[in-house]
Amino acid sequence: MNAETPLIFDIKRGSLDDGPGIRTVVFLKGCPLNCSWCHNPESINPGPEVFYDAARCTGCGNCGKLCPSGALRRVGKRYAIRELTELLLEDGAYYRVSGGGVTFSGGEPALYMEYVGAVAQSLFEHGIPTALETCGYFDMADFGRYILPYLTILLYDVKLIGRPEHIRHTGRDNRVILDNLRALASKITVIPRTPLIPGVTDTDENLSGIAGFLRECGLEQAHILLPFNGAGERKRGLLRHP
Amino acid sequence: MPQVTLPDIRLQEYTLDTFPLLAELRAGLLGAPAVICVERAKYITEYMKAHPDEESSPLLFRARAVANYLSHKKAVFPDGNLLPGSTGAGLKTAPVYPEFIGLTIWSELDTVSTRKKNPQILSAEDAEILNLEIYPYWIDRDVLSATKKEFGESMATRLLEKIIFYISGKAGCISHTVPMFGRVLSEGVSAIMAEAEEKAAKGGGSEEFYTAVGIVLEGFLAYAARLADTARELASKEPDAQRKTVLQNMADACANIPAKPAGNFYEAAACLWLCLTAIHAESINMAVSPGRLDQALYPYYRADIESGKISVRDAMEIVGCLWLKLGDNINLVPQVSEELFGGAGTAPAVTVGGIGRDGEDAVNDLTYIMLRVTELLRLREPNMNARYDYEKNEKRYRDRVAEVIAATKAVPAFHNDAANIRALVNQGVALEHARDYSIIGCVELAVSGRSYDASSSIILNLSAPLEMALYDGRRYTTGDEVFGPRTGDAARFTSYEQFQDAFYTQTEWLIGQAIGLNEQMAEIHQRMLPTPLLSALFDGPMESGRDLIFGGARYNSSGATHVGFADAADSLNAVRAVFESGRYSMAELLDAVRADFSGYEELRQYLLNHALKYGTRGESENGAARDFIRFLYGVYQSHTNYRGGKYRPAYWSMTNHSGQGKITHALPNGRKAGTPFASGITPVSNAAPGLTECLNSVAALGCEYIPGSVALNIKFTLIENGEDVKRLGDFVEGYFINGGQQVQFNIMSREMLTEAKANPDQYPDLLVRVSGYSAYFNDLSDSMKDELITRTEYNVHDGRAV
Repeated sequence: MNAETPLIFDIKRGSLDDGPGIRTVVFLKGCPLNCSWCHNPESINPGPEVFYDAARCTGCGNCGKLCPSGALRRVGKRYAIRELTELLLEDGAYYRVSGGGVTFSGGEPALYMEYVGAVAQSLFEHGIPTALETCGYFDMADFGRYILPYLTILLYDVKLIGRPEHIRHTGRDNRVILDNLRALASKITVIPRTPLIPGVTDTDENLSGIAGFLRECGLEQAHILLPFNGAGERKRGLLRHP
Repeated sequence: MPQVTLPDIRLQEYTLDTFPLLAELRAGLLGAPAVICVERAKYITEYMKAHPDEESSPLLFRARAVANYLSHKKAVFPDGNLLPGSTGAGLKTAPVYPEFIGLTIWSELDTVSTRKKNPQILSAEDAEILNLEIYPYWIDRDVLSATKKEFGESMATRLLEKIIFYISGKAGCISHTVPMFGRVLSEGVSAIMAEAEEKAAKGGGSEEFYTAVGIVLEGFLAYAARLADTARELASKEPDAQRKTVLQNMADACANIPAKPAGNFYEAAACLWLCLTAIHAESINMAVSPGRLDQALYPYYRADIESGKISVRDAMEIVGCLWLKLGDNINLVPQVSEELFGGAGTAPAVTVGGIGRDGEDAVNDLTYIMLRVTELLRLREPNMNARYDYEKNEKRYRDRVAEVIAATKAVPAFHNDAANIRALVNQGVALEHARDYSIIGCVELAVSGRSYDASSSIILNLSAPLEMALYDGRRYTTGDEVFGPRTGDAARFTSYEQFQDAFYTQTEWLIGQAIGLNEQMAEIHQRMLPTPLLSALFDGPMESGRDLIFGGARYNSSGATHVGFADAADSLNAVRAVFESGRYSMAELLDAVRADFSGYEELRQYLLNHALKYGTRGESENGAARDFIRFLYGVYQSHTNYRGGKYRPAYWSMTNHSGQGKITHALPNGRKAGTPFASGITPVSNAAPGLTECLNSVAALGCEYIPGSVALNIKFTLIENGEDVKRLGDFVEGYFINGGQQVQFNIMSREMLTEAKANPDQYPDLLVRVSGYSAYFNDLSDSMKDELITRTEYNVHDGRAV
């Protein structure tokens, strides 16, 4: 359980992906997994980091307080709960007319149960549906207590069905993930998703294994396969750890 | 019978193949050369030269001169269009209005036919007539010359002639208005003439006005009679049976309308078009906007459909013919105006949809017919505008408009009923009248047929006061000459507030100059160019006995629009960022701007990356844009015009933002010399990376403060399918709920536009939105093409700039 205010490394407004309608997607920094293919490498470490883009740097040497060219920028910003809620409400009209809402993504938003739960509750009170994208690696009791009551849709990653493979490619055991999914399948609209990583997750064996598991959960119909996004490489090149 | 009865509102079964006539007319019009037509100038001038003694009673003098033209006006049938009447004596004509800027091509008579960009054909014979018979008479009589003669050369006229401060609409037109056609359609011109005669006989001080109305309408009827006679004569000689019937129909129609009430849908469309040709004869064919045609023509459509007289196909063909007729005329454009106005049509704005005077959904079958015809023809004219009331109109209407935008890649523009009606009610318009608003020219709001708004009175270039604040009353390009008040050496300013004060002082001064000149020119208009014909087609003048330009309309205002709004706002933000940086000074910023940022790349990068940018939420909360909008509103509304109405700010720029940008030096926001300004109310290119933030920022400016409305340009790379179309509609609706007034789209990528620029032949009639109106891409100047190419381009899927 993590009670601190998380870093948010991006807020994507007006998105048609990541759930129904027009949505704002909030990306929280920090993830319990460390997937080799991660397309948001800046989302893994929960602590502060910077991006340095040598191509934009003019070499002025004023890096310290404010880089004039934007070559050097901090990854992420902390928002107070109320501040974030107000920002999210700014697009309320678009959510309402399109049947959209807010999606929490990351990183792993469920790392910040209290924070995400408080924002979701506030949106819930404003009649704005929320979705959450998760890797599923979280404490079920906390999730049920803080977030689930205010959540409309759960976008749930099932990456690898084999335990050894999961550990090898993400650094974590998938048992918690699968158990959580089984438990949540009947409690909320769940959309299971599998990113298609060439040679890793897109094998017949893995996909049919996942399909079998989802069938058990009654989630087979909802399964979505996500095409591979190669943006991670470039970003990894820009990322600097303090 | 419900208003929407069409089984398929998309009218998919009708394609251009269903209408061989429309396809042929379309190709003919697009392929036709633009021809300068001197007929009007000739007959008006002839009359005036022959009757110098009448000058003392301008109303009668003008009425007789216009009637002289109308009663001699040639009846031409230049193509197979089903509707009678034409603006000039040919298919695509630019009439000469020597009263206005018609003299500006005097020095170009030999070159205008052959110039490279948008040539306008002038025969040697007509050039001779202009040179010897027409122009010499007008040399000190056109509006600008007459103003200078009457009031003397002034700072205000000097600023106008420099072009880079403001443009005064009155030098070029009496127009930008929406007439009322209801009465002519239902009662006929004869009824108005009878009323005029009766009221003239009664006395009471307005005899001259009513007499003038009678005279000019008689000229109008003479033109219609000539059309009837000529059509009948042509029909008698016509070997082709089909064409013979068409000519006979025109002859029969013109024997009835506009004198008597329109008997059916065809006659109503014909009558409406004839009224426009008559208005073009009197003042000028510039943004004379037909207004809510789906409302005005609906009773005739419905009656004909119910009685089985016409089919939906027939109605579509007639609407198509009307659309093509609306494009039968263009404006005379001298070489010097190509950069500022190049590619412009005459912007006859048609408005469809929205709510009615009763506040209920006014969308009907004709709305959908007009949308489908627009989708099939993809023409620059008319300038199509769709009103949308998100509470009363159906979603399927909204999505149908979005679908037409996706199909044409450009039209119609979307207008928000809730915001626009609120803006008008705040201007003192009665609610039921405000609900009946329609669009003038580009985006401006008219109370259809009831308000005279002269919405293009002033086009103010905001980079002018900005530079005058930077250079202590001077502009960069004009060197040492001091124009505005001395607000001090900006290099010595010690706070942002000091700079903002200087900028506001210069802005207020410049607006004062522009308004002062507008008032002077209005006096000249009143003395020389009354509008008895237009006045007769309005609600107000016939009751009050006063011509429109004397304040006869029920509602009055004057409109001022602005070029370079976003660049000015961001320049204010940049100055603030400099003062807050603790690293750069105002003196350094001035040096950098003077040097066009050469050698100051670090500072420029700082401004681009760290100053607030209009179009983002941070700017919306803490930036300069909102305050500046409110300031401008206050300045304009503190002035009352010669007709007793207020001045109203608006934000649309046609192609002026590109033309003015080309001749403007660098600005504090990091914009380099010679590059285009952002268009209309649109944020600077690439300054607003998020679509909803951009839309919200514009909406947050507050419709109450923008009674003239705005042109917001949004470019989407691609709208692929029905789902995308729906999302486009959702974005529009969210923006409207937040208070946005208008938005227009280009659905095209940078790659596609770049290719179109390189291979013009492959894109012969690519329709684009500039800022307020549509244009054919190929007609635009290179700098305007580049502006379109580099506009922020959003991906509809993630709402982000690509």
